[in-house]
Amino acid sequence: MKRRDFFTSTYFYGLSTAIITGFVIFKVWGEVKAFDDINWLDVMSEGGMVILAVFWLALLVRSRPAGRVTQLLALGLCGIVFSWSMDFLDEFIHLAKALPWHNWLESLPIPFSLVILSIGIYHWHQEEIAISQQMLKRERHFREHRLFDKLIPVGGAAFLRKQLKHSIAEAKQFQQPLALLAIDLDNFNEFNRRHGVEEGDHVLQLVCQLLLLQLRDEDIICRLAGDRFVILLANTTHDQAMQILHDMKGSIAAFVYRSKQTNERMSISASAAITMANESDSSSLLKQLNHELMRVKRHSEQLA
Amino acid sequence: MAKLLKHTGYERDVAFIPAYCQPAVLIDLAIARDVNTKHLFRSTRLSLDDLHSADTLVSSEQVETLIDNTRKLLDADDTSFLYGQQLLPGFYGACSHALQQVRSARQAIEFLCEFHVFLTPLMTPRFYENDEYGFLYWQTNSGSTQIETFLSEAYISATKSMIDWLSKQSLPWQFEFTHAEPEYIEQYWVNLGSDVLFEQQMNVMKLPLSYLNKEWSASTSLGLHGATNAAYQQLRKLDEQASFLDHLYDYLRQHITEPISLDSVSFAFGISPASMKRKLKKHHTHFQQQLDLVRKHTAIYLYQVKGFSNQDIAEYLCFSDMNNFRRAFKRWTGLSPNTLFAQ
Repeated sequence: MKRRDFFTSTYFYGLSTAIITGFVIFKVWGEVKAFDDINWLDVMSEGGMVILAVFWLALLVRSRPAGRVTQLLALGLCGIVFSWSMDFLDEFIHLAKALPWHNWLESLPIPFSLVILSIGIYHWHQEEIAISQQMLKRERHFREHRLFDKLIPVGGAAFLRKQLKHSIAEAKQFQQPLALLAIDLDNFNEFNRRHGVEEGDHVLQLVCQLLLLQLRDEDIICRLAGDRFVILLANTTHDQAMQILHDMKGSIAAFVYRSKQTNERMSISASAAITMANESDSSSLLKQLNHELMRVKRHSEQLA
Repeated sequence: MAKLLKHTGYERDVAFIPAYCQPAVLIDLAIARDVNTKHLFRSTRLSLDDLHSADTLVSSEQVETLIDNTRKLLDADDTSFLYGQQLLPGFYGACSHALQQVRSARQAIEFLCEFHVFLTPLMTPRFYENDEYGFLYWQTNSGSTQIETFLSEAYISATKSMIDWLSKQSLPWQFEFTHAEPEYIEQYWVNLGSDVLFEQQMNVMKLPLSYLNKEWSASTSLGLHGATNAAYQQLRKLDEQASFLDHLYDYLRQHITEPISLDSVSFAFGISPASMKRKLKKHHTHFQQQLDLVRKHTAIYLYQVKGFSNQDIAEYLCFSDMNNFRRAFKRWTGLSPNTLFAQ
């Protein structure tokens, strides 16, 4: 998803127009206060509120994908920014309380925007539940967005280390076997060389989705680095893990990628290795897994 | 009397790298990963238009800033490795052309050393061998200490990736790095393999001689000779063929058995000791540091290749007293000669 720029969004234009209109109304019907009448403490606190609300709005518009929930949240925040900024103007320009404008500008927008914002937050809550359901296979024990992989929608190596610690402890507690499966694409460097990093990144994203589809609810997938994925298979014996390994390799071999630029058909193959977690600590376990994978790769290279 | 050097080498603020070469590879990578180009070019004095032009040259200093910006903006552990894997043989004219036609790892490495100004402008590779291994070690040549880790990861994975690709197999490389083991060690496993050591004396890649000398194909390629000559022509057209620090390193290496001082070296370079000091400071170093570096490398070379004993090495490096030598050695390497060579 590309990030959207707040200052070029319709929310910004709409909000600016509304605030300018409000300002004009104030200017026409109100009278500017004398310098000594201005309460600077109020000016600072109300000005600060406006700045903060704009900051929330900008973050929201920049980070969230367009859609109904974003629209509701943004409209609600726009209303709040507008009515607070009218409060702020009020500190400088006096508008007679008797005028209908006064209420319309200052008091009326707040309840409306709060209602819209609340509806937005409710839907956001629903959306969050739906996303968590989807994320289940990528984060089992906890969520930590700072450890997410920048490229692929799964955790990175640091995330894997943390998950692995939890999984080892869990496996020990329930006396269950824990298997680690590493999958590495063959000749991925050459693919990047021939088709460019952008195309390579795309393949990784697709392969990751392909692997995700085959995971059971208790399994977790992470990207270790480059084209190497690690899957934690909870309560899985070596034989069961072997079966999963073959199925995954088979699915990658059956997968055909069509390049974005030339629509060329390409098939991909992968190497995979398994290590059982027998009481070892997480970092040496990962090292062991990698050694195993290197051995498998070298072996298949020699055969070729 | 020492001979006067004709060239003192390019300095870190001299523009000699075509913007459409290595800098463009990096910028492409950043753009493919959605980095804002405005932020990417911050304080590099560059713009996207410069990349379209054939004449824009940039200095080491500018590339350094560009790398630093990219690193911060991408904030991913694999940037240096991915960048490296796109770097070689590259599209840098005749030398890239020739590099694609080399027929053994040795030839590729010799080529890299000869034409590093075009191929790996910010670090200089140097090669030596004993009867088991070939060693290719890398040094920053413009005082880019801040991004040394990034550069060594990039250039070493570039070389590995290119030679593996040309030889059509994964060769049994071994790597040593001067920096400490990073948190993202898995990037090394995936991109370089598991034979990696950290906190070593040099950034070096080793390959057994049998793999180094193995001819990849028997067919002779006529294009190679022409391309090599064209690459030499390209090299001769440059004002300078190496950096200031390269020249200094080579000079010190050649005269290491003689008594060396700042004054004698400055004289050979045709500049005053004061401006020598100034230049060194500009490259974030000082004379003693460079001299120690050369002595360290010479000592390691003498041990690994010539099989010299501590005593022989001390004599070679003009130390009259073994205790002095041991103390100095510890200053260069952090280890006593016996401990280091026992490894």
